[in-house]
Amino acid sequence: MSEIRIVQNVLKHNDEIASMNRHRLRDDGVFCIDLIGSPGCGKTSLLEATLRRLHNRINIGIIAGDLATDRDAQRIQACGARVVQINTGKGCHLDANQVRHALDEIDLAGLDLLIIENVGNLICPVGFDLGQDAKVGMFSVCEGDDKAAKHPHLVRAADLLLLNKIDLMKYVKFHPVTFREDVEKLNPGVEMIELSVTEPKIERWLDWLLSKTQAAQDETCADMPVPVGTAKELSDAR
Amino acid sequence: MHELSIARSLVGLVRESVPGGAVVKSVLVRVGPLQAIESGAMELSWCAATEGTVFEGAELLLTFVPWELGCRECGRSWSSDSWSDPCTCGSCRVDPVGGDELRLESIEVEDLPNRTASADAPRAVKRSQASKETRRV
Repeated sequence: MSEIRIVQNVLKHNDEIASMNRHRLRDDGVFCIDLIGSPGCGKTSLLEATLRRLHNRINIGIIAGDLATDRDAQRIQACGARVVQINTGKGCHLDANQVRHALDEIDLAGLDLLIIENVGNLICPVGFDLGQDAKVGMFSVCEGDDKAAKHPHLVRAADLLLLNKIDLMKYVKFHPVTFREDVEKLNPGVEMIELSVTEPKIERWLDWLLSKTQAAQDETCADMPVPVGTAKELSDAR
Repeated sequence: MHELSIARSLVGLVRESVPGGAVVKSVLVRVGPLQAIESGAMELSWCAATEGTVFEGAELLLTFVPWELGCRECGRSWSSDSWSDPCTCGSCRVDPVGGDELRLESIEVEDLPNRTASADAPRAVKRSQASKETRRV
């Protein structure tokens, strides 16, 4: 019996394809976010409200991940955005290869911002890099103030946290201080935006999107490492 | 159930890492607490992902590592199963460090028999075994 020492990231292939996605997006100056939250926290409603406010200012594309149906895609399309629906079947999260295929269906040169709405799930999507510039974790007050503590993976990985449905805070048991303290312990200094999609009260979120999108366009991709191997080779290797 | 995607990815990595014809006995993976991996789900997923492949029957060994915590007040660092432990100095200003590792560490393979002895020998077929959970203390 002999032992082969490896020490290799188990999701190496996913990460390699994610790196290629990131390179493609940066090549075209597209800022990309991966929006992760539980079912019903308001991800699609937020996208609708965002599109209504920003579609005349920047070009936005959406990749919508769902187990089944194209209802989200229809809702988003009705707001005038380019949308690609990924139905994962039994898959509880998107991976970089699914996003790579979705990118093939989008004219990236004509986009400023790409939002990937992940499958509604606070756990499984977090570990899979898709090639995004920022991971955005979304909670709502109806889920309870313990959700940050119970989902440390998402809170730790997030570049921005959204807390939705704050207009309902008076009707549900949610202590914002408890929630914020857990967030601060897990991811010190992470930006958190409270919003209400229905009111709508989303200005800070829109400002964040616009400033990040502008910054991405100003950046060059000169220092991006070029991944080794073609997309097909990596895909075949999976 | 992200465990199934992880198991499939792991099978691909093992395939790349062992010489052709090698019989894999076990695969050791180190799992940080942020991966939210459930050992039972991982065991089922590994069995499903290896079924019908040359790795069917190989044992999956998971080493679950605890949180590494550091106190912002006194600088003490320690390991814990919970990210929210207060420090022994009384401070609650504690930072979790790392915890997101998911690494294939090593693969145990049967020594390749010499060709003359093994040429006509039937390949052993073994039922999948339950994965063994190890916990570092």
